[in-house]
Parts: sequence; C-alpha cells; structure tokens
Amino acid sequence: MFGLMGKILRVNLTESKITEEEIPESMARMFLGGGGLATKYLYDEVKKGTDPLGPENKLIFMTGPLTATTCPSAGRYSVVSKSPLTGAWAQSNSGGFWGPEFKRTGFDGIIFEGASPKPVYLVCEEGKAELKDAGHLWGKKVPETTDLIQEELGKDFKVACIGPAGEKLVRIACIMNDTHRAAGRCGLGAVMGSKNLKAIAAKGSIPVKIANPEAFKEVAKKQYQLINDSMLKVGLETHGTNLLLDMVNVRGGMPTRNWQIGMFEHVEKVNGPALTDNLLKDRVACYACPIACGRVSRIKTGKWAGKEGEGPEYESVVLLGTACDVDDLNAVTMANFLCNEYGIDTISAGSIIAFAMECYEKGILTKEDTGGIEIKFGDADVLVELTEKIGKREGIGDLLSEGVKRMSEKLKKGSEEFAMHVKGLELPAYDSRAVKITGLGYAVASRGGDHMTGYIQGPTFIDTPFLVVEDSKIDDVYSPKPHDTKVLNDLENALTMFDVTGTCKFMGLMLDAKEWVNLIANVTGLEFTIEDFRKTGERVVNLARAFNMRDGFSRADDTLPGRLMKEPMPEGPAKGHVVDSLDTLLDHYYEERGWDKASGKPTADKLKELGLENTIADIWN
Amino acid sequence: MDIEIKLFFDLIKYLPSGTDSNTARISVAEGTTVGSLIDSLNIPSEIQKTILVNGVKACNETIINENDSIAVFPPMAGG
Repeated sequence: MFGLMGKILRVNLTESKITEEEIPESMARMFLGGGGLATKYLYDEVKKGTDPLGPENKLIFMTGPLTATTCPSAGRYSVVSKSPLTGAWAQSNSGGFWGPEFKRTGFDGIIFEGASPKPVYLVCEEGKAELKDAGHLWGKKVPETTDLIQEELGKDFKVACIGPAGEKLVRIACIMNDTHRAAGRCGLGAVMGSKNLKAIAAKGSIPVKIANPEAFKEVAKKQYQLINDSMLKVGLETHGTNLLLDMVNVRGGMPTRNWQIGMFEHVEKVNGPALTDNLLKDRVACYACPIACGRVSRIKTGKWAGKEGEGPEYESVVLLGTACDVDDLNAVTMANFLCNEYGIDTISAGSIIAFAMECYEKGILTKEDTGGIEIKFGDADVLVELTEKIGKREGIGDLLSEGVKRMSEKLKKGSEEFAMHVKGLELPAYDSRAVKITGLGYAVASRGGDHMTGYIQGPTFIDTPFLVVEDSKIDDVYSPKPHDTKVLNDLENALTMFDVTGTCKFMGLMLDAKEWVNLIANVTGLEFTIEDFRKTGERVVNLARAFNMRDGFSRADDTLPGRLMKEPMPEGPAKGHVVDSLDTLLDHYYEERGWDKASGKPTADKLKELGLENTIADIWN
Repeated sequence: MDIEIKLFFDLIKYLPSGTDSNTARISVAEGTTVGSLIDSLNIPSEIQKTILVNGVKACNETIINENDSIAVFPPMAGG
C-alpha cells in the first residue's frame, strides 16, 4: 500500500535485538496505520492480564499514511500500549516534527518489547537502527536529554524521550518529542521507563511513496489554503487553544476548585488574551500546519522571571489553574513548564493537585501526610511545588504520582466521589453538568476520561460544526436525546481516522469527510470511499473496546465520578444540573454501536461485520 | 431595562465607546431581541458568531429580559 513505508522495527530490549518486519498488506488495508495499525499489533501481541509495567507489555509507536506528506497537519504519530494508569487500552498522540522525521528513516513504526537490563536509547537513521547506552542520560530532564542527544548525534536529529517521571514510573508520565510536544495521556512515559528506554532519536530523508503524486499534491495544497483562509484558524493562531476558556466559563462548565463549581471568578487573569498579552513570545506551528496554535511563552515578572518554554494549552490552564483555584498565570505557566521538563501529563497533574487540595480542605489529607505542606486551594507556590514533587516522585509526590483513582482508593473517607476520573484517567477541562452528552463521551472512551476520542465538546461547548460527520448538531445541552448518542458515535469513528492517518484533529473541524477521503485515496492508491472512512474508524474503536473487554472491563466501567452524577452544580447557567441520564444514554449508545446492552461488549455480529472475528472468542467465551 | 453585554476577541470593538473592558451595561427597550441588539451594536450580520444568553445558546429571535447577560463570540475551534 502506498503512503506507508511498508515495514516496522521490532526492538526486543531484553535481548538488544532489532529486526525489521514487513506490514502485511491485508492488515494495512484494514487498519491503514497510526493508532489503528498499532492497536491491531497490541491486540494480537499483548495477552489478557499483562502487567502494564512488566516486560510483557509492548510500547508501539506508529505513524500514518499521511504522516510526512504535504497534507496539512500531517505531523502526528501515535503511541499505543496498555496503560499503567487505567489498565486499559491506551493511545497517546503528538504533533511537532518527530513523527515525520522518524517515518522518513524508512519505517512506519516501532514495537518495543521486553525490558533492557540497563538504560538505552534507540537511534534511527536512513533505514538503520541501533541501540545506544543511555546511562549518562538517565535522570536528566527532557530539555537536557534532547540537547545531549543532539550534541552527540547532530542537531538535525529529532528526539522523543521521557523525563525523570517516566524513569520513576510516575503513572501520569508522558513521552515528549521536540522538547515541548507531548504524547501526554495515559502514562505511557512510565511504560517507556519500565523498559529502561530513555529516548528515540530519528533522522531521515527517505520520501513517502504516494500513489497519485500530482493529484495528491493538488488536493493537499487546496486544503492547506482552505484552512489558511478559514475564520476558525484566526482565534487559534492569535490566542492558542486557551481562547476557549471564556466560552466554557460563560457556559458554566469550567472545572473550578476540583469541579466544586463551574465558573472561575478571575477568568480574565488566565484567559487567552491574558496569555497573549503577558507571556506570549512567539507562535509555533507543527509540521505542515497552517494554524500555528503552539505558544512559546516567557515569564516576565516575579520569581520565575526569565523562564521560557512552550504552552500552556487550554486544558493545562484549566486543570493547573482554575481547578486548583489558582489565578496566577505565571504560576500556571511555570507548573506547565515543569510538567514538560519532568515529562508528566498536565491534565492529570492539575487534576491530581486539585484533588489533593480538596482532600486537604476536608481533612482527608493532613500536614502529617504532606510533609508539612499546606495544600490549599489558590496557593500558586504549592501548585508549582507539588508539580515538581510529582515529577520527582518525592515526598507527598509519591502518592500523587499514582493518579486520583489510586489515591482515593487509599485515602477513602468519601474522596472517591470527587476523584475526577473515568477508568483511572483524570478528566479534561469541561464539566459535563453544563453539557450532559460530554459525560457519555468521557464514560465510553476506551482510554478512559478523555475528550479527544469523540470531541463532542466541539459542537456543544464551543459551538463548532464538525464537517467530518454528516450531522453534529446537538439541540439541548441539558436534555440529551437518543440522536445525540449517534452524533458521539459518528464523531468517535471519524476522529479516530486522524489518529489512524497521522493528522491533527483540528483539521477535522475544517474539512469534510469527502476531502479526507480524497487525500487518503490519493496517498494510498486504495479505492477509498466515505463508507470506508467511517468503517475503518469504527473498526479501530471496536478493536480498542475488545482489548478492554478481554481484560475484564464491562458496562460498569462506563461511568462517571459521583460528583457529576449526584452533586447539583451550585451556581451559574448549569445550576441544579447533574448528569442524571447516563444509563439511558448508554443504552442508546450501545444500540447505535451494535454493542450488548448488559455487558457493553461488541456483539459477535458487529465484530464479524467489521472483520474482527478473531476477537469474538476472546471476549465472549 | 438594563442588560449586560460581553463581546469577545475581535468583537470588542463593537462595544459602546468608552467601554474599558469587554463588558458593558446598557439600556434597551423591553421586548428587544438578540438580533436587534446585535444590529444596534453595528456588528455586521455576515460575521459568524455564537450568542449565549445567561450562558445558554440563543438565536436572533430570543427575547432579552432585564438583567440578562448576553455574550457574543466569534467562531472558535480547538481544545
């Protein structure tokens, strides 16, 4: 199949053995690449009951057929594994430049298996790969690791690596690439650390073979221009993703004080314009991106003056800021920088600190537990201090590094009700009591409490029509209808295709499915239709679901924190609302998906329809 | 009757002159609709926008009540 390099690297870290494997054509046609292909490998190779941090787990990096082409935003790669945070299927995805550079070394992806007896890093260059000693890199933060590798190999190598958090098996550790971009969610940095794998450096110039190069070039150029001229681009380019903060706040869905309330009083101190006016140094774009939503920020005043890095994004500002009741944007930015340097997920880190603050407020955590730190809401210094302690797994940071699910199971005393996670993954920055269908999105996402699987927040919280599905209209955010579950289903199938092809989901807002099909058909040479587009996405969603079901997950895991279902929102537009209809929504959603209502498993008929017959015995016997 | 109007990002320029933030309190006649309010602020109709009244999505025909808070956003994406 064109678009793919056609082969992957298999790196057995236990034996320091590297082999090349061809990707079977039939597999490529069914799963295309990226998160799809990686999920297929994971399902086939990681057995039920595998310890996520044991050598039997696999860590799979995969680019897509559009990665490294001239398609707009085609700079992304996926990492797929079993999560140490959730015990479920995990996919994390990142932009920047590492993905395209790696693909041009001549491979679509890498499967890491086993565990190295000592720290190593992998170097991929022009069709070759070798493991190198990483003893001197162990313990180093992300920027230092990246710099040292580039000093050794050359500045033109792109680096993906873990920081100290991944080495210390912090369950929210991420994998960073190009110093500042994160494959952030699900703790896959800890899987990398468990394998004693510090980094992957890549340099390549092998071109991607495109089936219809002239037609592809023309379509890609047209789409690039269309996005470049789009009104939707303007806000993102001007203020970054943090431009959303005002609208979510006005709707009363802004997680504040660990989701105790839905509006943040000092929003003007932390919103998009505040970031632009006070911290923005430069705007940066990922590979082939016309938008440039990335922020280079510099703290100009106060104790962290002079500190520079990238971010913060919308999600990071909310979880590290409003969720912790911190209105000091310098502190939020500093905490964000520390997350990137130690290699931890900003969403989970902020959520954990907010949870700890509420536990302290309620006397569930005391000064004796915290090593003398008063973990109070609104304390900017504590936010920064705790972020660093999580990164180092130091003191109280050791408990915090486990994530809110494990923390609440240990602390008990009712803290389970306000531990804001689904399946162990901390929730992102939209309170479902203000838009109830988003609660269904969190509940059913295979990687846990996640907004990017279906991004139903787009057509609801921020009122953006999604052209990539036929219908994304949600009429009443407080009274979800059966129709809304179809919208979520369709969005999940469609947005999965961005992870599969190696492109950015922001483009899913701006281009319709026909245009994406045109790009995929011209790069792969397949006769690819809109039906194929939707079916491929659906196949991947179902395979991830089957992975979880094989490991014992069930309908009971498709749930929400007690706070969202039982505690009425105390004020604002959503005052008095709870997510009260989850069970009914699940029934409709399962029916839409062809999943068994009692167990939540995909039915045998559905699995057959999608060509996933091999999973039926695994989950039904 | 008095109402609150909040305009965001590039729309701020359509607030009454002398407003020093993105929010103004203005007086409108009873029965004023969202559409006529937008017209009175001279926000061009061809600009796409999202209008929320008290945090809930509204349309041009929505009738405004005393002390309502009307927020108007340009098209947005991201998250």
